[in-house]
Formats: sequence, C-alpha cells, structure tokens
Amino acid sequence: MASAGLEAPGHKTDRLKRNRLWRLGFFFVGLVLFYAPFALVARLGGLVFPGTMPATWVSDVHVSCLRMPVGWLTQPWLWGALNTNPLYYVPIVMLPLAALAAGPLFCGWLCPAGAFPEFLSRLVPDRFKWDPKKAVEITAVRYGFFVGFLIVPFVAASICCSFCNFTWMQNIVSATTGNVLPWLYVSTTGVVTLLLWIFVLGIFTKGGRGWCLFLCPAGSLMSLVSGATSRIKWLPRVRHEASTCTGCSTCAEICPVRAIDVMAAPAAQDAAAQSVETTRSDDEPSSAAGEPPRAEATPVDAVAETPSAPDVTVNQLLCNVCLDCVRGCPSGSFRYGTKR
Amino acid sequence: MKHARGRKILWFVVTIAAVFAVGYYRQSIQTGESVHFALNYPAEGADVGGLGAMGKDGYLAVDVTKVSPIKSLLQPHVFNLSSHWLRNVGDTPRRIRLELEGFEDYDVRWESTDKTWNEETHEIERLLDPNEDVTVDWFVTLPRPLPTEDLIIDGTIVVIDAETDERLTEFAVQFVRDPAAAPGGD
Repeated sequence: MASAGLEAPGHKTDRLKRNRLWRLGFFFVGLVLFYAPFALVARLGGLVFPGTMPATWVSDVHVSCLRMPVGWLTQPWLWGALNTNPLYYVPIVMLPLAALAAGPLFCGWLCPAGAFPEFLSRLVPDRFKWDPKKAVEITAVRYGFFVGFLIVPFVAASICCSFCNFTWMQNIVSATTGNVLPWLYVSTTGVVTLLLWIFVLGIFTKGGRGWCLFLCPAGSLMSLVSGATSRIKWLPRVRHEASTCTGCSTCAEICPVRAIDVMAAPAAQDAAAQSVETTRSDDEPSSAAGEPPRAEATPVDAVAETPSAPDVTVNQLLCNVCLDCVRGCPSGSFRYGTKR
Repeated sequence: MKHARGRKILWFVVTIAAVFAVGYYRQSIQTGESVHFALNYPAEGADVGGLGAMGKDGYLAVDVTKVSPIKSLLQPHVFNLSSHWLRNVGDTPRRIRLELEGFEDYDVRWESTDKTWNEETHEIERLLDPNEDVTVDWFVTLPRPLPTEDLIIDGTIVVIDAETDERLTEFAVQFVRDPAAAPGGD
C-alpha cells in the first residue's frame, strides 16, 4: 500500500514529538532571553549601550518591545524614539532581516508568547476547537490587521500597548517568580487581550496560534518579508516535494499556523471525494459545490495509490518555520532548505 | 477565482474596519479607565502637557464614568494614570522627585520602570539628561461606591528638583464625574 519514500508513521510521529520538544526547549530559551527576571537581551543591551533604555529601565520584555517600533513605522515623528533604545531596531530591522535570510524562525522557535497558547492548546481535544482555515481567509485577515494596526493612530487611538500579549506573558512569568503586582489592576483591553490570547485564539483554536496569525504585528512583518522573498531559490524556506507526496494531509493537520493546503490532484479527486465521504463524520459539512474536495480527511492510502501527485501549497505568508511538517510528514515530502 | 479574490478583499477590508472600530473604542475610554499622558519639566501653563491626546492642554481630567462594562463589573474604582513620557525639556541634567498633592485621602500605588526609582522617596536617583524620558504610573483607588460629587479629586502632580527642591512643574489632575465640572488648571 505504501508508496516509495513512505516511512512507518510511528517513526515520523516520534520525530514530530521530538521536534516539538526541541521547540519547547527553545521557548524556554526565549523566556530567558526576553522576559524578567532574566531578560538577558535587555541586560546585554544595557551593558553595550549605557545611557539608553536597556541600561536605565527595568529589564523586562518591554525593553525589547516587539510591537511599538512596528507601529512607529508609519509615524515618522516617532522615529526619534528609536534612538533611545537600540533594541527597538530588533523587530523592524534584525528580525525581518533574519526572516529574509531563513524565514521567521523567531516565531516558530523563540517566541514564548506564541508558544504558550500553542502548547496549552495541545491539552484540549480538537473537537472543542475552531479551525481558522475553515472559518476565515487567514492571510487577508492577518494583513488586514497589520495594515489597520499601522494606520489606526491616524484615525483613532493606537491599539499597540493596550492589546499586548507580550505584557501578559511577562505578567505570567512575573507571577511565577512572586511578583503579582501587575495582576492587581484590571483594564478592559487587558481582559480582552488575555481572553483572546489564551482562550479564543489559543486553547480553543486549532493549532493554538490564532493570536500569532491574526493579531501579532511583529510576526506579520516577518512573514511578509519571508513570504515576499520565498521565490528566491537560494533562500531557505519550508519546501514541498510533490514527487514523494501521498496527499495524506498530515501536514495540513499538524501545521500550527494552518499554512498548508492539500488539494487532491484532478485524477485523484474522485477517489479522494469517495474517501472523504466515507470518513467524514455526520455533523461535518460537505464541500461547496464545484470546489475540489480537500483531502484533509482522506486516509493515506486513498490518494497514495493514485498516479497524480496532489497539489500541496505552503503559504509562506503564514509559515513560521516550526518544521512540524518536515518532521511529521509520513512520506518525508517536506524539507527546510533552498529550492532545487 | 474572481469570487475567491473578492472574498479575500472583503475579509481584508472588514478586518481593517474592525481595527478602526477597536481604535475608536479605545479612544472612547482613554479619558477614563486608562489615562496615558505626557508631562514636561521644567515647564508651566499649557507647555506642561507633552505630546499625546491627554494632558496637552496642561491639565488632566479623569472622567470616572468613562469605564467599560468589563471594568465596571470587575474593578470600577481603581484608575491608572500612566505618564508616557515624563521628559526633561530643560537644558541641564536633573535628578527629580515626584509628589502628589490633593490625593492624601486616597490609596495610591506608584510604579516606575526606571532602575533607580526609589519607592520610598519617589525619586529617580540618577541625573536625567535633557530630552531624556522616564515613566511613572499611579494607580488610584477610590472608595466603593464611587463618590457622587462632580469633582472628586482636585489634585496636582508636582515634579521637584531633588537637589534644590525647586518645583519644576505642576500638573493639575482632576477626577470628575462631569467633564464640564473640571476646572482645568485654573
């Protein structure tokens, strides 16, 4: 039944688990780098640039803020503030450059505020979650928010600091080290942010990365740079090899940012549709009329035996290079590297 | 294909509109439950208020009725005054101390992000260069239920030169039920 290149699913599952464990480890590294009481980046910045904010402010995540500098991009009168803190250049220069060179690895591997709800969401069965891919046009909403975030100060109040999930991540870390003062003041925007970040767009979102997808300007900027340059063949990105793909849709299922779409090839559509029908649960709606069936619910073998390769796309405007698809693909059809 | 593109454009536009709506909502409560302002020193009159929507007239009126249903439900009596920024607009470096006048009857928690902030003396224990900023936050707890007077607190934030005790800036802060009742800096 299995086609060439298809490894034992258990082997790939182990690799996926190991990948997630590695990512969990790196997120703790991210905590140590950016969040008080450690905040090594801020402390190092203070040592290297005495007299600037990293040297004079409390060393916590706000010193290496990833939101404000992005918001300032459209407000030239605030550019002077960039020079008060060299770390403000991280989200608008360093991270986008890193994303250009290697994809938004920061999002997939180092950002604790993104990882926290993702890993919490793994504790909740998928049947209690909503899938952004089925509900909205993720890319349009993501960059609609990004544009809105950049221009809203011209028409109303800025939503930068009042809806900050990094602050909440810092509050959580601070609470674990005994500092509960930030929790003593309740604000409307703070409550809304917490509920959205942890629950609506976190635990109860398939993949757990709803906040990253829709409401993180820093992530959007990095993905925009990464996506816009993904066609350059010598830049490493997550790449899909159609020749070995079986269309099992494991990648689409496990992708935390819902960046992978699997469409059955025309020749395989009939078989796939038949398979989808037999595996769909009673309460699941059928495909829209005229739309080729997605092979998400299709078992591996149904499409593996068809002659045509399925059409698999990785949306580079969403991908955060977590590499779950690379490690979790049963046929090894994904890799992280340059174009061949 | 056309249909799909139209759907994407629609989501894009609707999302921008939603962000604007949130921005407007944020604007509607910024004179009440979460007041951010900028403050200059040494300065007087309208120059006391720095850049930003709040405080630019040289005084601050906090409307205690401008709170959302969520805030009303959970914590209607605690208000945050957040200085973004407290800026030395003079031409000499200064070490500053802060005082709150008119708030003696209320519980106020002070916070600053500066590493040299002294919680006891409310002093930034280092020289602040011209154009350098610091932030200080105040969390003011009013009695529950909220007082019914139109003018609840008529207070002042005072920036003092810690070395000479010179009053560098006086910034009027009024907690009101009716913004028309705010006497401003007069």
